[in-house]
Amino acid sequence: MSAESITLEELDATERFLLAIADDEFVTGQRFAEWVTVGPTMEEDNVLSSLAQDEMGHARLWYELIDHGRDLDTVGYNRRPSERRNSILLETEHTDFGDTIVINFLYDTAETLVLEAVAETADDAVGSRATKVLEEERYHLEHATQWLERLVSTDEGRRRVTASFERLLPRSADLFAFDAAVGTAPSTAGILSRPTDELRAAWRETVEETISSLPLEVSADALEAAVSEPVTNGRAGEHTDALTALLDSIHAEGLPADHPASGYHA
Amino acid sequence: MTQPYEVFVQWKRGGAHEHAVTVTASDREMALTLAKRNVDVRGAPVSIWVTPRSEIAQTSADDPTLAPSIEREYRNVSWYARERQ
Repeated sequence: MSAESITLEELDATERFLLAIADDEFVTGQRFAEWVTVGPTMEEDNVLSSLAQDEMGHARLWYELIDHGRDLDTVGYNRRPSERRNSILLETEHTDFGDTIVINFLYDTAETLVLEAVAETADDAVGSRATKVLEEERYHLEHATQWLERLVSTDEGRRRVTASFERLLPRSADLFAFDAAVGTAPSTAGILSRPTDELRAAWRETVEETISSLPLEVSADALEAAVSEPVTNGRAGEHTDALTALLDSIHAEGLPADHPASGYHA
Repeated sequence: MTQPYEVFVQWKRGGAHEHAVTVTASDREMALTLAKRNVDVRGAPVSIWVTPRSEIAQTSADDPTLAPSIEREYRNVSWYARERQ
């Protein structure tokens, strides 16, 4: 095993697509794990930890396919922000539990659509992993929708969940914004059964249906921003300061010492 | 308002539902959602029941009618098992 991490140059278009999916899971797992010991209730704390573990497990499944023989911890932890391809939605700081639930809903809806398209088409290592991950995604979506319905049962809940959607919808614009080579290669290589713009349209439909079924008044601008050209595209390696801060906080725990070859701070 | 729900898990098909944990929830659907990921570290459940704790009737700690004061062991199944030996 090499201690060096993977570089984008050595990945083909399909692998870069899988890297984006893996990085989504990795960053989501990290953000969910931040709730450990400070969840809204003991029981929900356990659930959020369980979801965080799911996401890290999913990240591992995808990294394993593209690690080129590298150590998985190194692949997951020791890549600079510019080398990462996760959506900026997922690196965003969670300012309250409502943010977590809205991200849970927006992301897991998108991920389910992408993985269904993968599972329908590829019946190899990629397809079987997609099928496995989808089984756990059903619970993730159940968790998101159950909480959304209950959080909006009070005035304060409606106000805060609306604010979360307003803040987070524009950051969802890169969920399907895989760059040209990555976006088209999987469908031509038979990994996605539907083109990404079709997936984005299906995502929009589900998101709009869910929001309109709840007593929320989310602006048309926010919904439009979610399906417009992203201002910052995580799929192209463009990230916000939130990702740098998140990675720095992980490495501040002494990870570079455990993985001396990381060179993350070099 | 939230209230405590008692969670009962069936670990094996055909087996009894055993009390596993208590979750606090606003309603029974949410209680089930929370229960699923509060028991799964112990294995894979076959089925889960939840019920509001307030729906459970309970005997008092010193209920004199729980145990007979007059010897009547002959009424227990074990009596007949012993007699057959």
